[in-house]
Amino acid sequence: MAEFRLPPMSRPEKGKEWAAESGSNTRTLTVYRWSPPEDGATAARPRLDKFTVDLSKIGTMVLDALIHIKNTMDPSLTFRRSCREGVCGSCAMNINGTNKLACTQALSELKGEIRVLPLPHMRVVKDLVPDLQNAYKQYNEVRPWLRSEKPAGERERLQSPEEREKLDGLWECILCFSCSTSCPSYWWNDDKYLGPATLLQTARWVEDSRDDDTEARLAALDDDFKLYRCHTIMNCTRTCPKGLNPAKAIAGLKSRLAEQNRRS
Amino acid sequence: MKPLALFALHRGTTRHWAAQRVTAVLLTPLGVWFVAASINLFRSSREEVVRWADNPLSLVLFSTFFLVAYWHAALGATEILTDYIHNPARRSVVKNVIYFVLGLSLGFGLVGLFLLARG
Amino acid sequence: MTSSDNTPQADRPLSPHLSAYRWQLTSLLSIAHRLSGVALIIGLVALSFWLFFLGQNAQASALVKIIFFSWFGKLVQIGFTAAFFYHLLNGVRHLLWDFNLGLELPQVYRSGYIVIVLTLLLTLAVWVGT
Repeated sequence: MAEFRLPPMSRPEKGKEWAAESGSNTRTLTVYRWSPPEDGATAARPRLDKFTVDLSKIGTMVLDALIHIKNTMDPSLTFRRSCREGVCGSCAMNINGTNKLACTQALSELKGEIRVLPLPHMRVVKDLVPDLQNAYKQYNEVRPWLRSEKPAGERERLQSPEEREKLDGLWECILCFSCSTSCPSYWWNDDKYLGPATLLQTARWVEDSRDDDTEARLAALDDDFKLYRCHTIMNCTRTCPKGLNPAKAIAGLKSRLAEQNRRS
Repeated sequence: MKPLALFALHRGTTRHWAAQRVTAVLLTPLGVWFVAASINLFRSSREEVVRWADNPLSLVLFSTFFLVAYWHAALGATEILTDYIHNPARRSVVKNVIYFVLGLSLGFGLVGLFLLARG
Repeated sequence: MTSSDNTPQADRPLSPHLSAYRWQLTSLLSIAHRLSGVALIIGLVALSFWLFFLGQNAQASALVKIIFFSWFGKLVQIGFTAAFFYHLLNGVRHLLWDFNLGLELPQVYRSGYIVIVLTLLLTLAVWVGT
């Protein structure tokens, strides 16, 4: 059965309240904390720590607040970050209930206390770092590269501007997995359902005029789980930090697959 | 995709997906008709229902609505089970129980309809 | 020394999901579609038994009528009516999506609100207007 509740050892408990910074303009962040047990020790439950930061000391984004906390309050706070401008997809996390990139989420756009959790329904490596191995494995499974029988020529494989346009809204995906981890269907069947991120990437190659393996790509989706666990809930499109539309890409895959099966 | 593509059912889960859409397309007008026709039906006396069932058009429309609705219900129930019950053996047992109950209930309904149509 | 790379998968906590993710129109209308569907399966079974008992004789029919139009029976029927209209209207929304129509987020929200309002209006029309 799908587990709708967190296992007891995964339920966060109240954590530490760190000494608040003073200042006329402060914000409080509640941050998910968990560390693997020391060798020989038993694992503790995750906890929610409270940090109050002085906004005059930091930049405008949630990531700025997290970096400030790490630099000045608790150096053990762990999160992924790299580009700090929304192109690398490392700092995806659940901020006030929806998945965002911490680097492009302005503090001023959030109301009240800010709650920062790892991407939902993922195994936690440490603090805000989820284990993405399964997601990457699924991405790899759709063989996300150009598949063509035609040998590579002297030049690039050419596309008309119209053909190229079909990839808009697909190529921009940065694989942050905000969408997949916002999807209840992915929560309940993440071992078998590919999830919106990987399906959007599948659509990216299915739509590519230079790729010759469209039929096999679609046929590979025709089972109970890989594609058809999508019920157009739309949480993916609602949360995508890049403003892409995975739900629409998946609807395209479904109608293409239906058309392909009708013809065969 | 042409709308008619939905009516050609093929192998795989695509078939299940398409069947769900085909039944939904059929149920949309039938459902509207059913609501319009049945607004006063439930509060009617038996004689009035018998008179209603005496009309071949309403009998045919109702039977179609009834059968397609059961089909759609079975497809939808399967979808829910696939989402939530992960063990394939257990899923198949629960599925068969639900199909059995739905089949039984459909049978009761059809017997009732037959008796009413006969008067 | 901690050994984060060696932590067995099962020892890692599962991050909060259903309890932590913000409810929004997208997910609310989706779960409502499923719940109304389940309600309608029960309604379909009820409809079958209504037919069956009505088919028997006038006595059984009278009894069924009393049950159906007790205040509780009425309440259940109002629920079924609302579930019916919601599932029908949101089902049309789903069918349009399957033909690649109305999948942009602003359209999704607009059609969502339209479905809610029409469900309320139609349910009211059936129970107040007749």
